[in-house]
Amino acid sequence: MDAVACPRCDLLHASTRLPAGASAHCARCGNALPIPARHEQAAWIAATLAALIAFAVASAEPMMGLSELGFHWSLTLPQSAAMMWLEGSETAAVLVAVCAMAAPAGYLLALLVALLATRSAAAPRWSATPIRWAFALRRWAMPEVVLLGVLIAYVKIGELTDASPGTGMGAIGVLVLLIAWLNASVDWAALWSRVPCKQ
Amino acid sequence: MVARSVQAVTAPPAIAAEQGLAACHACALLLRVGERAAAPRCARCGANVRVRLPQSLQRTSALLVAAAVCYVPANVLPVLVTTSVGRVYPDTILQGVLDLCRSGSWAIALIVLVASVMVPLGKIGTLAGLVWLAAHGGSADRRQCTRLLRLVEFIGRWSILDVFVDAFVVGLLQFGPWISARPGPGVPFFAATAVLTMLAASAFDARLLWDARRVEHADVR
Repeated sequence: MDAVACPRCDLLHASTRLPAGASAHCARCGNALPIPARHEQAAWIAATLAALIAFAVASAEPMMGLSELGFHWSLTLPQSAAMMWLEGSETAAVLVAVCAMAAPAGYLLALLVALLATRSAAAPRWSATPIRWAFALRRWAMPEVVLLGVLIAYVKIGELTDASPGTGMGAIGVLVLLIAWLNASVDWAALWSRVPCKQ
Repeated sequence: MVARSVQAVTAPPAIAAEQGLAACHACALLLRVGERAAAPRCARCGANVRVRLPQSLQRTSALLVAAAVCYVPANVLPVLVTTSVGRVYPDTILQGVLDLCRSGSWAIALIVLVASVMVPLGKIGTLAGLVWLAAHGGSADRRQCTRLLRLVEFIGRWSILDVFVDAFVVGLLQFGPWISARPGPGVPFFAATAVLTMLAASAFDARLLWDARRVEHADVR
């Protein structure tokens, strides 16, 4: 069927293939319409791979470190979630683990699989699963909020003792930029348009 | 990114639900839905297809009430307990903001105040208003309402900010009796407010805002 309904107001629109970089908006409520445009899928795959590398560095390297009384102490993302758990704030620990680690990792991995599976015009039917996963996890992956949280914690700690930024902080900065670009440019309608329907 | 807007209007304007059609909420495929009570499965992605999200307004209201209830202890109880040379400082969110002000970090104090105190209230208030409009109708500009909902979804995640701040402060400040920090009893409530408002926003079906209105050509620009 060459029609789409606006996801926000249900108004029907004719679906036409859009030129590269274009997007269609609902004539009534102004929301973006799920109409695919021509695009360069290789760029998305490259950005997703780069984001996965940035994520790995951001998780493994310390966000910041501090020296006090001859001790040196540094903290990675997984350690901060673990510390919250050990200090008795399990809710916060789970939230950090999900929004800062599990969701970004899951989003990027599912997106990579989805992009690779839909490279050709006739994608396998199972590619629907990674696309759905990637789309659902996208909302809970919030590296930009984590980055601002790290920066504010850095300022707060800096008032009490000497803190120094770590490699992880730079890596999460890169991750924020890459995920922001992916969120703005990945055309979900284009991915879906390649998944065949069950007869 | 500047996107060219392409208008593809069917004339006369038609509503999918009134034509016996429904868009899959996961992959947007337009499907013909009969009068059957059972939800059909999407032919493309296998998701359950529903003309409107079931009990959208009830679910959204319930999540909003829960978020509003959690908002009170989130702001009254301390979220960060700092121990410095034997003295204990339990800080609520607002005290944390005041501390940042006192030390001259005005910009950061403002960010924390907006993200942690004002954004949750704004989300609850805006969504409550939209639920009321969808349930009772009203002359508010629906286009602006849809824009407001997008804004709530976009800003929503920032209200989790303080949880990340606390996680890093607690993780780093671990020098026994000299300087140490641990999460306060307000943290679970604070986290719950943020998550509940995000869930409320996704439980709200924006199409309900438009359903009460007849489609007129004047609506379509």
